Amino acid sequence: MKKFLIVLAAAVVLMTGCAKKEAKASGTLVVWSFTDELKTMIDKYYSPSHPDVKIEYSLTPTDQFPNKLDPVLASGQGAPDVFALEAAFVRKYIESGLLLDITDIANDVKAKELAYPIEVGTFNGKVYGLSWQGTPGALFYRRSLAKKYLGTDDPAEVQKNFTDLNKFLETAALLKDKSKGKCVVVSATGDLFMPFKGARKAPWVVDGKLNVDPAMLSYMDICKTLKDKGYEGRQGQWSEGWFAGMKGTLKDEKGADVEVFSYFLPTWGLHYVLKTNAPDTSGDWAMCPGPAGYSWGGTWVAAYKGTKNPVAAKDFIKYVTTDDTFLEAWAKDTGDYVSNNTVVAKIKDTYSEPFLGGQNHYAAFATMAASVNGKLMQGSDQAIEGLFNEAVTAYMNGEKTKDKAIEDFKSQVNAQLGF
Amino acid sequence: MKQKTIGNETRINRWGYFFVLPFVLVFLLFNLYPTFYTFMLAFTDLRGLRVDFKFSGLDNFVKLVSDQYFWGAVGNTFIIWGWNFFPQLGIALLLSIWLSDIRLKLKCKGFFRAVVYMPNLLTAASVALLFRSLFGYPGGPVNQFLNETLGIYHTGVIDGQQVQQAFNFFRDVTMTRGIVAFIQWWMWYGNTIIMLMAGITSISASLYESAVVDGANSRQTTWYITLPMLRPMMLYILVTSMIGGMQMFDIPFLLTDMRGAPDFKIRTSIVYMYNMAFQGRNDYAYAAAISIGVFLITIILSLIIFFFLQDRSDLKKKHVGGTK
Repeated sequence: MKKFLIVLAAAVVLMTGCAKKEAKASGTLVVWSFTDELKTMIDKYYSPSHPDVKIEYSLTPTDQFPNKLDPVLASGQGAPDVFALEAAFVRKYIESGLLLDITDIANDVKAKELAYPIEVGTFNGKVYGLSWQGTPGALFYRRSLAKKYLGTDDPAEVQKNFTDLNKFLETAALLKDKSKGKCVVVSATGDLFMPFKGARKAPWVVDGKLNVDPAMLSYMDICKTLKDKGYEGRQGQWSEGWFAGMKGTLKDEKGADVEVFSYFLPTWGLHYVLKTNAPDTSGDWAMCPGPAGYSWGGTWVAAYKGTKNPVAAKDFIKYVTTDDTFLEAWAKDTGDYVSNNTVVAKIKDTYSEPFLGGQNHYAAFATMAASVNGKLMQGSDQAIEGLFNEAVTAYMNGEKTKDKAIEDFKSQVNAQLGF
Repeated sequence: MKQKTIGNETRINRWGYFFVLPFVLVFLLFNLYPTFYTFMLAFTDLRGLRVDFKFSGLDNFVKLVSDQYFWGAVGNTFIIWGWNFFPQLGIALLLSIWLSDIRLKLKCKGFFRAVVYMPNLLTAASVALLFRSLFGYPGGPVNQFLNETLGIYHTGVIDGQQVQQAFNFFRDVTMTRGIVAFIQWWMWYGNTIIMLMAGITSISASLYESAVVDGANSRQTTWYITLPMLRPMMLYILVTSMIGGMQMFDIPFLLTDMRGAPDFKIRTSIVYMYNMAFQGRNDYAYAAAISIGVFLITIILSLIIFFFLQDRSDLKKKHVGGTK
């Protein structure tokens, strides 16, 4: 009897082993992306470790990507197996019912993964997309200005001046006072949008109705206050003046210097915005969490529901978004903040960023990433926020009263989106 | 000739079909089919990431007729087009008369014609972005010129105190509409000049010669010969410009926030259509209804213009003949 059991056990092991072998990824995968990061991942890591899977890769610029993807997903003809999705439009696809259900992979890795990227990829209890990165946001400030006006440049001490909304306004007033109007807390009011968006309690659309969260209303108020009191630099985000503020070369209409104290930027903002645009100020920056936890941007990977090779598609997604060995190598190569907490815990203490005067940005991002709420993101965000931005600007510039601006915003949303 | 069908002749005729075949095929596939498809979509409920749809009768059109934002967009389109068209026709008329006047003996006519036509060769998208940064706030070149060179400032209020600031052009409705109209004018007046000059050169020289013999001066020849003879050409320009104006898209779309800021006042009908189809919930059916609405408005207006501005001397003669 014992012998029989052993044989049986051996047979079961053998069979499951065989079954596993059969389910091993092979064949061809068509991969579409708007970012060349995915291409690097495939060429350098995925393909060498998965010789059985042939990848057909194609790149489309971000602004044309949805226009290329929409018709093929809707009709199913010529659809890719796996594709990258950007934060601005990821929810539109997650909510579309056209993506492959990958809840099983998500459940496998849930314990070691950062929570919010999975929340973003979840719709009606099922997971449709995963991300290899977290993009928590921070408040980046100039050390020299902090020393001059706040008396310290230590991130923990500076954070005490920005713990909440009221504190933020107090500090803005303090900076203006002490600098005799020279130093502004931010160069553009739009900088505050992402943190306020992160501070919401509920998303834009609740039960098919538009919901203007109190955080969004206080965003309108703070923009108005900052402008009326002259606490901001009156620049537009991504404008020439906005970048000049980073370099410390911003001037007003009269040619007087304007000092910009801080910028709200996420992980990629440090590497691709600050470092590339303000190399001369290297070492004079530091980061702290600011008034609210938020995330900005990021890339998700998802598969088409009707893919002919779901095994390879799932295996591909699991590898690029969660694999320990791969993500550790990836983080070390690129400095990207990865979504795998095991990897983050292992490497986070090894960083020291010269651009931030030696501060460990990786460890700082790790604490910020935990406070991000991924349940606030929805497919209609981009369209609603475009209309909301007009309302905020109209109120801020005194073109409309707050009530009128909100009323017009609601009516525009109703006409264009039906909420 | 026709009754005698020689084998050779029919064969030659058949070749004609082969020559037009590529055009006809391309036209059917990329022009006629999409047009019919758009008409069909306007009667459906196609929305979002789907290909299946149900026919919903006139629902979209009922919504369109009562949509204040659609009529607002049509109004914006007309205001901007009007601000661009009348100066365009006036200046083009003046320049084309000068450039084609034999007695003025202008040198380098070809050069002037090329210079005037040049803006039309630029991509609308890059022109929009160029003007966007030219009139940028607060540090754009136009503001720098006004503030630093001329010392002209906008009076703003900060913390209860009056301060001198730059002009925020793109938050001023009149100014922003004016900039769009100016760009349209600047890009298209060269084209109008070419058209008018073609009209002027096609006027028989003998008319001018006999007028000069009769002692007419150049003001009189312009007023009594050139302008009346240009009437059909001006009618043609009016109609084509209006059709083009109703489809105005790239400049107002790219100049501000792609939604017609400030306060949606440069949101033209086609920008609104684009917002509906590609920037919100992909409401293709309603966007199709908007296109058809614009199409109908254009047709009606063209017919009205033709009715009022066509040369009715022939009709009058007939009428007079009838009463006799």
